[in-house]
Amino acid sequence: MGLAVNAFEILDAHTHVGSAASTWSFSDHDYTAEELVDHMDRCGVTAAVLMGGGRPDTLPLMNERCREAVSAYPHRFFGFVRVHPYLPAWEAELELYVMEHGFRGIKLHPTQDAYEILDFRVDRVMERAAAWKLPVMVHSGTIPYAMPGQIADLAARHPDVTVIMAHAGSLELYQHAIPSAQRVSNLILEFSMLIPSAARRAIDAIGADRVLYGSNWPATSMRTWIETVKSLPTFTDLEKANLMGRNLRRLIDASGPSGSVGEQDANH
Amino acid sequence: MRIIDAHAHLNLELYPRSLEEAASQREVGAEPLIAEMDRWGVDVVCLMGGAPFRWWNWQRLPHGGNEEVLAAMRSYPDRVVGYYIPDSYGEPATVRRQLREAVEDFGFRGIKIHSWLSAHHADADLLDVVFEFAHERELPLIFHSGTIPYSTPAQMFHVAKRYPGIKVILGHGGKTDLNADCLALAHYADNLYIESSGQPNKVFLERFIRDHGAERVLFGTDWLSPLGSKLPARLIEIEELDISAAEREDILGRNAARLFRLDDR
Repeated sequence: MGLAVNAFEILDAHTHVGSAASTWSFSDHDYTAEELVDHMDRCGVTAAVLMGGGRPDTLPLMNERCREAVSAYPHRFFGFVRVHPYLPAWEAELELYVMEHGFRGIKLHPTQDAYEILDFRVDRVMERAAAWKLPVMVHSGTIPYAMPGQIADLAARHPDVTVIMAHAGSLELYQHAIPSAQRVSNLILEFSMLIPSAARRAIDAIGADRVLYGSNWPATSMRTWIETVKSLPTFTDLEKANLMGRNLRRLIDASGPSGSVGEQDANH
Repeated sequence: MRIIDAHAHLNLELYPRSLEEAASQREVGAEPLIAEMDRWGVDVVCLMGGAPFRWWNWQRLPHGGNEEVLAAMRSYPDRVVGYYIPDSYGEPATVRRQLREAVEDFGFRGIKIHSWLSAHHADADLLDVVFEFAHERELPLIFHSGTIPYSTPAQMFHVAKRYPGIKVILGHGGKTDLNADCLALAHYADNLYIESSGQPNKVFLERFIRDHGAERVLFGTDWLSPLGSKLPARLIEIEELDISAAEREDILGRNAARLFRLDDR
């Protein structure tokens, strides 16, 4: 099966370089930005959210790896800075990557970084996200720190922040993602690690504006979703366009504080 | 090359939003599955029901709903291989008689245990009669794996060690949360296999194949209904693995043909 010409823009809401939380214990391979761009080109992906992943002790390096990739391919990646709310350094890291390097959002990984997502220190990060208009992506799908209801509670506490539930609860907790998103309107679902049929039910429940395609590359191949969405009548053309790119494009365009490098880029 | 789907369901009720939707999920026959297989080039499906996982269906049907799979086996003898789902809560003598009838008279070739849906541990004493039967006849036995507390790979490893005659297949390879357990435990039981549906982690699958060999991985779709087909996505997941052509052929069909002795029939 070959890839048809895109009738809609494809943006991937979830990628990594180096490794991902779900891959580093299975492979030592260092996944590079060049490899990622090759896969994006092969699958017709215009641009992707890129964020740190992998061994938790490499946290500062992850953001630097992402910065290098964003700098090498400025039109292909939207950097999201990964911070650990328990480490006081988060504030300076966030400022550096957002104000100086044009990163467009924040990534929180309560499972891989081992913290309680409803801890008061996470609230401090969320308050900054609200002030700087940064979307916050939170890993979901694993107990005890990343269950959909906890992420919905976090989003409910911070109604001015767009919260992206990465993996939409993943395979084990997916059924809880939809009612969680139904009760909190600033919560958006991203579907990496699930297959496209999972997004159908979410769109029926919460509409086609709060759903994002993501691959979690290198953990999955982008081709699985992209080719399936194109070849099956699961979604209307409008739903496909929203799910596969338009929703993320809208989110990124609205992100970032005034005066940041990212805002200047967006205005060009 | 023959492509064999080692994991598909008929009549499994899954998260219905109304009684009507529940009924429509229970009334899916084999025809739409066969049509999907034809469209995507799948030759044979190893098929199981949904009803027999629930104890109450054994009170209304002599084989708890396995009858629906038997009907599909009879309609499509060259395309459908049957997994028999035993009554977890039945009297052992009755369960043994039912299993013997299923295998000897009806031609079922494997057994499925979905201990999460049947609500007991995968290695529960309740199932000793099933395990003894499968061990004696060296049958493949597939578990749903990856869901706590009733469907963890460690419980299935216990079965594999106690009953080395059984070809123990860990459906979904432990899913996203317990796949590392499959990788570790497979070192200590040669009769442990994994099946690929519901295992989105490409890097995990590649590692499992490198450590344990492609001959211990079976392609599966977990096909449930014609709505929102999973089949093409599952095939692409296998196509995208960074493995050799021979390894891919093992996974897509040769391993299932060997385990289910398809060339003996």
